Amino acid sequence: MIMRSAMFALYLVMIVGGSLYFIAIGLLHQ
Amino acid sequence: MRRFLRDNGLSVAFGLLFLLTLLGQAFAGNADFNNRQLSNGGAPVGFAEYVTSSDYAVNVTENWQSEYLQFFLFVMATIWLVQRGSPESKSVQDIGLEGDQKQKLGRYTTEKSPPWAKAGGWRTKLYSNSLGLVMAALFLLSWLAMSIAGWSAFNAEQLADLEDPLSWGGYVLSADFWDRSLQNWQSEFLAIGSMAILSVYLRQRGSPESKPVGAPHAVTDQSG
Repeated sequence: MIMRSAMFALYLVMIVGGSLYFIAIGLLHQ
Repeated sequence: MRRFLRDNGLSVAFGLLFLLTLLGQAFAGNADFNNRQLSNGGAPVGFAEYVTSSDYAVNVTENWQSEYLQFFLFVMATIWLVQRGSPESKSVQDIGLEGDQKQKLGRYTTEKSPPWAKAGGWRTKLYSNSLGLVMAALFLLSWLAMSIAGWSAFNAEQLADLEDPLSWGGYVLSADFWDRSLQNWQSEFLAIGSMAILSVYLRQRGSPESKPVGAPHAVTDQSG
């Protein structure tokens, strides 16, 4: 159960973190 | 550990596939970018520089946004639209938000129901829409990321061609932004429609995405 919620959190971190990373890249190169 | 892998096979396997293909995309994208650089008289870039470039960023995020749009629309559309005979659809008589009994709400909650399902008021209202809201938020976030990375990549090309850069607002109204958005959306819509209708007549034994092999074509709301 704890591991399953860790998986849930990992996916949210991947997509939210990834999007923020790519936003930062776009802004830094602008 | 073994039990964890068995119980979480789908999220683990697809998470690994995602990371491997994201890495593969970085290698292929880097090679493609360098080919274009060389033919345009530019200098090739290294791997680390490429994965922090707006070219990589826009190519990744343009696909992300369309996937979350797909799931958001699929989750929301299947409340009101049905496909008779499809395991992806509910029955015609269940169209709409459904009653408390079917949704295990109000006096039909059980001891093991999630706390916010039992809470009532705004918390239950919010929790009742949490999947759609999160999918919509992830779509908007990744689409925003695509617009910012695409804007930056577009302007880099404009400057290399000695043309004027665009503002972010100008980019969001540009052909490049809508070409990237729509080319991904169209494929998602085709895939959803195909899945809804092909699964009426075709079967995949053992898959919950399919009806049982022996189920009649007209039966809706059943998975095998």
